[in-house]
Parts: sequence; structure tokens; C-alpha cells
Amino acid sequence: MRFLGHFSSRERRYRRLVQPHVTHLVHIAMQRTGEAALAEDLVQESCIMAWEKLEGLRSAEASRAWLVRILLRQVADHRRTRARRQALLPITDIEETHWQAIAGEAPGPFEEAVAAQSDSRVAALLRRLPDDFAIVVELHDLMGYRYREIAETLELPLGTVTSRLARGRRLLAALLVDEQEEASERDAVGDEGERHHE
Amino acid sequence: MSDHDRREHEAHAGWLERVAPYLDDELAPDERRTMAHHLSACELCRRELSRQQAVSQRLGRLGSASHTASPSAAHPVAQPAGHAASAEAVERRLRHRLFSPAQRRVAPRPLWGWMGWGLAAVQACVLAVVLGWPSWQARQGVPMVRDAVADYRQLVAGELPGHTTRDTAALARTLALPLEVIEGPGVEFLGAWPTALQGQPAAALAYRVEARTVVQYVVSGPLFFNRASVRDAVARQGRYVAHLGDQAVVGWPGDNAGSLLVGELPTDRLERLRL
Repeated sequence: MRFLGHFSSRERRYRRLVQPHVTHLVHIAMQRTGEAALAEDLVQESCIMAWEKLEGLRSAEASRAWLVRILLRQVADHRRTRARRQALLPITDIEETHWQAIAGEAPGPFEEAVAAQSDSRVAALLRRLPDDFAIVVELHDLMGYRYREIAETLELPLGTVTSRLARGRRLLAALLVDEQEEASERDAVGDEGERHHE
Repeated sequence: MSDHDRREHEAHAGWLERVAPYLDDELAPDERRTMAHHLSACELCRRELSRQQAVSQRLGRLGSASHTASPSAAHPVAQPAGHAASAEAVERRLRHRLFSPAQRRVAPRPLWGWMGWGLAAVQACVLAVVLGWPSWQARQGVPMVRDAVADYRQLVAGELPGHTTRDTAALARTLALPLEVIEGPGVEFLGAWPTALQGQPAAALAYRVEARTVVQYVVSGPLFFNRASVRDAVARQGRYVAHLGDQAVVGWPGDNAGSLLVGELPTDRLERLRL
């Protein structure tokens, strides 16, 4: 029998350890999927899984990292089973282009190109990065995690976090520049076409 | 990338790896000073720093575009205000699925959990049988004694059988049981007759003691010692004593036989009779 204001022990644990982090989980899921409905479903399933495995969580301090890991597994499972696979990026080629660019460029144009991109385009390009890099970049640059927190959350060595963050930013930089160049080319072709019509 | 550029890049690999932690203030103070000193002299690392910073700042703007401060002081991670509605919708559905009594999801118990409970149940049953059987048996009494008391009650409710005899020697020969009549002050031997307890031949010897009828049942040794409770009592105290309703019973072993004295007298009085 349930009395007013009385919760079961499991319910109390859930309210204390899981509920405060739901908004944060939604944030990550939205960033990872780009779709509100899908993000909500994945967070809901993650919370249900957390409810069922609540005995396995020993400390309140570890709850956020534990929940993020559950959510990221849900996202990965969803991607593997139902969603389209990510288009593979030629990582080595992109990085090679990056090194060439910083060896020869003068400061200025890249920073301007990056600043000129719209939020939606940056978010979309971020989702094109391989998951391993993207999640580290998102946790650090979007959500303000420190390196140590990322390492604890994703259960990775600190060196791997450092490397993935730098490489993720480089890959995103290359994609942002490519997009800017393609957009410029499209604009140029459009102008050319318009002149021909005239 | 030219060979010169490649060599320059490889020579800088260690420095370039420290650019991001430098930018993010994740280096130890002395490492940070060393890196700052290197950056002042290295164009390549400065460009890498500039690019990392541009991307990081652009992402920071993306993150803060619709952000509000986190409600948790312990985790000052920015949360998008636009996501609050989604979070609320998720929490509403979860409350319905998890906390609603009708639809409460119970965590599936792992197989080993069920096996554990099964094993515990079997152990409890075995324990109950092992511990409970002797006491249940004790409550039920000794069958031979129950028969003797039932026979005694029939006897005192009616008359002594018509075929009683005082020739116990002849009866003893007939039944192959050693019969020894109890004698003593205030004890009057009324007669003996053959009977059966637990389907085995026995002799009944009736006495009048203090205006009450007392009957001695003599049975074979195997029947007398059939039950552990009788064996234990005889081994410990030299006699078996029991009460069934108003009737007291005192039993003692004889020569390959055993006697049960049944009567509506105190047991100590019955015990004194056989001495």
C-alpha cells in the first residue's frame, strides 16, 4: 500500500540519482541525433534501463557518468540497428589537408570561414564526425566537461581524450572549410548562370 | 605536404599534441610555461592553436546560443533551455511508466536469483522435515502406547473380559511372553487375558489399586523397542513415561519383552507399583 508522500526505496533512489540528469541526457541525445522525438525516446529508454539496473549504481557522484554511458550505448545501438550508418570520412586525408593548410596559410581566412557558418550547419557537421571523436568534442566544447570528467564518463585514458579532442576539432575544421568552399563555388556558379540569363 | 613540411610536422608531433590541452588549460603549470615559451617561437604550433581555438570558440557559441545555467551547482554544465520541454516530456512519460502502480516496471530478476530462491525453498523444506518430523511424531505418540490406552479406556468403560485367568504361567507359555504379576500393598490382581497391540500378541494383567483399575500390558521386546522415543527414554531413565488424556503410562523393559502400565493414577504412583 502506498501512502501519501511515501515512495519505494527504488523510487527514492531513482529520484535522487537519475532524475536530476534527465535534462543533461536530453541535451546530449539531441546533439547526437539532431531529432527531438528520437532524442526523447532514447533518453526514455536509457532511464528505464537505469531504473532496472539501479542496484548496480553505488555512488551518487558516479550517477551522471553512468547515465551518459547508458545513453551513448542506446545511441550507438540505435545507429547500428535502425538508423543509417554514418558516411565514412577519409580521416587520414582530411588530417593531411589540415597539416598542409596550417603549414602554408596566413592567419585570418580560416577563422573568418568558421565564424561565418550557421549554427545548424555546425551542428550537422559535428554529427558527421565519427562518434568516438564527436562525443569528446561535444562534451568538452558544448557542455563544458573537463578532460578528467570525459575520461571518467567514457572510461577512457586521459591521453586518448586529449588526442580525440584535438583530432575531432581538426576534422571539424576541415569539414567547415570544405563546406564554405563548396558554398562559395555554388554561389559563383549561381552568379555565372544569372549573368548568362541576362 | 612536402618532405620538408612532413619532417617539420613529425618533429613537432609532441608539441602539437599539447596545443589542445594548452588551449583548454589542462596542462600542469610548468608544462604550460614550457608550451607558452615554445609557442612564442613556433609558427606551426601557433597556427594549430589558432585553428583549435577558432573551432572551440565556434562550438562554444553553438552550445551557449540557447543555453541557461544548469540547476545543479555540483555540475555546472550548461543546459539548453530549448531542451527543457523535451526533458519534461520524457519525465512525464517516465513517471507514468515507472511510478504508476498499475504499470510499474519491475526489474527482471536474473536467472541466478530465481535459482537462489528455489534452492532456499528446497533447503527450507528439508529443514522443516528434518526438524519437524520428530516433534510431529512425538505429538502423535507411540502407536503401541496409543493402542494400549485405547484398550484400557474400553476396558474401564465396560467390564473385564470373560476369559480372564489367574494362571499367568499358562498364559505366558501360550503367548511366549514372560509374565510377572505385580505384587504389593494395596495391589489386587484381578486376572489376565491375551490381547493384541499393533496386531501383535500381548498379555493384559488387570489390577485394582486405590479403587481404580490399572492394566499392565506385556508385549514382545521388538514391539516395545520399536520407537526411538521409547528406546531413548529407557536408555536415559530406565523407563518410559507418557500421558494421554487422563491416563498415565509407565513402560519398562523385561526379559526380551516390555511392560506398559496404564491407569488413571499419577505416574509416580504407577512407577512405585512396579518396584
